[in-house]
Amino acid sequence: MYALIAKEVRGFLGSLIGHITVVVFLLLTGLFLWVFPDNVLDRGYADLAPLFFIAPWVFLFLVPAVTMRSFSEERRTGTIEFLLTKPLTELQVVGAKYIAAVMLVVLALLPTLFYWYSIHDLAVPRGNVDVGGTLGSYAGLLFLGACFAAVGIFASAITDSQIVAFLIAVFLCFFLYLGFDLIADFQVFGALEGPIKSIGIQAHYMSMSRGVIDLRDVLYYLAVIAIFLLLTRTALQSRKW
Amino acid sequence: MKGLLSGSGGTRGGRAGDLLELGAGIGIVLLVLFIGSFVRLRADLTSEKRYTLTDATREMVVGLDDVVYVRVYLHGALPADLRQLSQATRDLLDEMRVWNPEHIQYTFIDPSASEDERTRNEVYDDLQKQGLRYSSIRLRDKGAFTERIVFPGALVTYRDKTVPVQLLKTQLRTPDAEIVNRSINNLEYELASAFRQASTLHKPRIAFLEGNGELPELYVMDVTNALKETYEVDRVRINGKIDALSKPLEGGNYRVNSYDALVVAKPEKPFDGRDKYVIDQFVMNGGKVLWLVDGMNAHLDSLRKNQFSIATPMEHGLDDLLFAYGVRVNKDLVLDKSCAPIEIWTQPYGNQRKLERFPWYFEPVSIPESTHPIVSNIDPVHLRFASSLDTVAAEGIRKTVLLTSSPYSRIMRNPVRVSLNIVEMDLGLDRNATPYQPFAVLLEGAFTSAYADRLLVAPDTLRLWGYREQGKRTAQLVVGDGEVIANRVDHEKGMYYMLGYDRYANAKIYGNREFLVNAMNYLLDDHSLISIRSRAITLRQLDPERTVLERAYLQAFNTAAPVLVSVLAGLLFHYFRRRRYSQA
Repeated sequence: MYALIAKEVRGFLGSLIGHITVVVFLLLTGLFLWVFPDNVLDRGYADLAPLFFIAPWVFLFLVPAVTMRSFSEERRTGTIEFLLTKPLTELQVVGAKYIAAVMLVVLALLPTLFYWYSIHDLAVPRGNVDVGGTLGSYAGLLFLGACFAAVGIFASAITDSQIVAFLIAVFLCFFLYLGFDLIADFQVFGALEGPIKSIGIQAHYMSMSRGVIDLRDVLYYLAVIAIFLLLTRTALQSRKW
Repeated sequence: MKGLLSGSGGTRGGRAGDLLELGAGIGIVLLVLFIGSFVRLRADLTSEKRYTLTDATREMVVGLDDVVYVRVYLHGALPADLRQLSQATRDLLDEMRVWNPEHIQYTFIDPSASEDERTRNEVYDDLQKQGLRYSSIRLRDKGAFTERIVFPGALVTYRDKTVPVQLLKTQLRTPDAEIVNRSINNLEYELASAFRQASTLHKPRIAFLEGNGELPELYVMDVTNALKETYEVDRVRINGKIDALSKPLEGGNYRVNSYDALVVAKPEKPFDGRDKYVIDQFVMNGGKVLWLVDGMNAHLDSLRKNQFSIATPMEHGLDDLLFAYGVRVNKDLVLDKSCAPIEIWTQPYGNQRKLERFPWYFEPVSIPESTHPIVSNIDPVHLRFASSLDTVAAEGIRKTVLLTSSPYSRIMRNPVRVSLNIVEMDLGLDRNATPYQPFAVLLEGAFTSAYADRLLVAPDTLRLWGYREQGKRTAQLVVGDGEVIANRVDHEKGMYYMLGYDRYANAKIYGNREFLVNAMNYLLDDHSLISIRSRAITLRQLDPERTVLERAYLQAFNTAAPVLVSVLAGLLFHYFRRRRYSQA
């Protein structure tokens, strides 16, 4: 299992497309956060709120780009048969691929600590930043990335084309993130508005990025991840039906 | 369930089995989710515990022995920001209900729900009578803008008393996210103080001092009204009367204050020695005093006439009192780069006059940096012709500086030439900067009488005076500027503006009112309220100078550094991989 995780991470890092993905992600967040109008410097507050505000949108593309290869490439080249005859269960294979994807997302996030350093340095008085709150926000962001990764893995398992996997993942992530809010905004639901919104990721993400870790939000994220990994496993099994 | 753990080698299960396992798995997940939804477990990681009720609020909520009924009018079609505020209010009330579900009830009402305009206007009038303020906001509705009246407030009712609460802290037509955010931070304080107001009977009494050229009532009207929400507010002249601020105790040697706090707002005439004695004994008996005292008189009338004036020391004769209590108001003016603007007619080309804005260094805008509850989470405080304060040794008195000038400020010592030309003047900060001059100092402890070593009154009348040399524990706040409390007045219409209102922004942008009301709450020892406030969120700011000066560098660094690091890591990764494979 470890070997498989390592192989996945190496495979991604060894590919040019992987690097380009990460660089584009960092460029986008950097520009949004520091250069485009209404950036951190213009706001003048010592927090990274804008990062957590735009990150979901950048993740929408970053995470599917990270996960699109994971199964579809194996399916295209036929190595998937080889992989599944190894002494690993389907669930272990899915788990390994998934863990590798989450690790890559974390790796991509690491350089954003530079922003943290800058804010820390610029605050008046120096270092006057809300460490706990930011940690909570980062936790929310990681959970979000983990959710998107599970969706991406699933999308990758149902097709043998990377591009299709990417597009399906982007659509599914978008729908999960915002779709339910858009549906809830129709006037017909009235009292159901709240519950419908809470099916979507956004409500949970927003509450976590304030810096409050609520058990219900955590469970929600874990549930989304679990459901998509189960679906992925079923998708793999379905080859033999 | 067996299949979940079985290897994939066997073709056991088949389609039906696999789907069954999927269904079972999802079922288990949903069950866990359902069970978890009943567990209230949250970790608030923010450093101020921003989203957790403070102990004080919780105690107060638990201690309610009758129903508090809250009607929130922030409901209906609202822009996103206000919806957020409405949601935060609901969250907070829910959080409170957790602790006392029987005695807290609330309902959300849309004041504009009625189709009929007449009914709507009646509702609006009624809400205004109850003390709620409305704002008219622009709302985008299907691409077109519509004006809409919103009441961003609530009414808190306890038994037969109803207290209005303003949830949104601004007058702007389009509240920006920052103000909404700050209002959210202040929600708990606002609601808690309304709960307290509605459920307490005795109100502490405050007196504004008169008779020594202090600001007339109209000039302090805004703060007076704000204080009246919580306190009884009077105006008082001492005129040498012993009983002006206190009453003798029946058969006792001492006196009891008739007021809890005194406000001395910008006195300009010398105090009579006897009056000072009365004030001193008021302090000794545990009275609180808010001293808003100028060190210098800027003679603004001659500034208007001649474009310049010479500021000279303000002769109020309070220096020895304040000195005994631990503060000296210096005979100087603080010029500060962080200041309010002034508009002056200039003639840049020939005879075309033009209104131009300049920084007016004589009106410092002090951004609170202290986390003390009096100043945490308030807007900058606007001062006019303020003097710096020095703390002096006073036995057993704790001194806290609450407001200071910016790092880019400078002291001008008496006499100071005040001239409109200063707008073209170079402050000479590189040579003469005196950063962080104290503007406001809080004094807490048991004060020693200013008359400890020199009796003013004949010894045989001491009993009548109930003289104390060593006071009870109390607190005083000294601000080196009298104008800090003065609201603008329109004499022709006989009306006053909000304190903190700024002509140029056409909105309330300064936190003077909050500063003074908080100060009063603190002095009058409303501890539970204060602890809620002190938790109120500090707005952490970035260094404004550096964000401007180092802007390009910061942008380059933060955009490029992460990218470069990741590229470098990629190259290293490749390099090592190549080496490994070439050796193999």
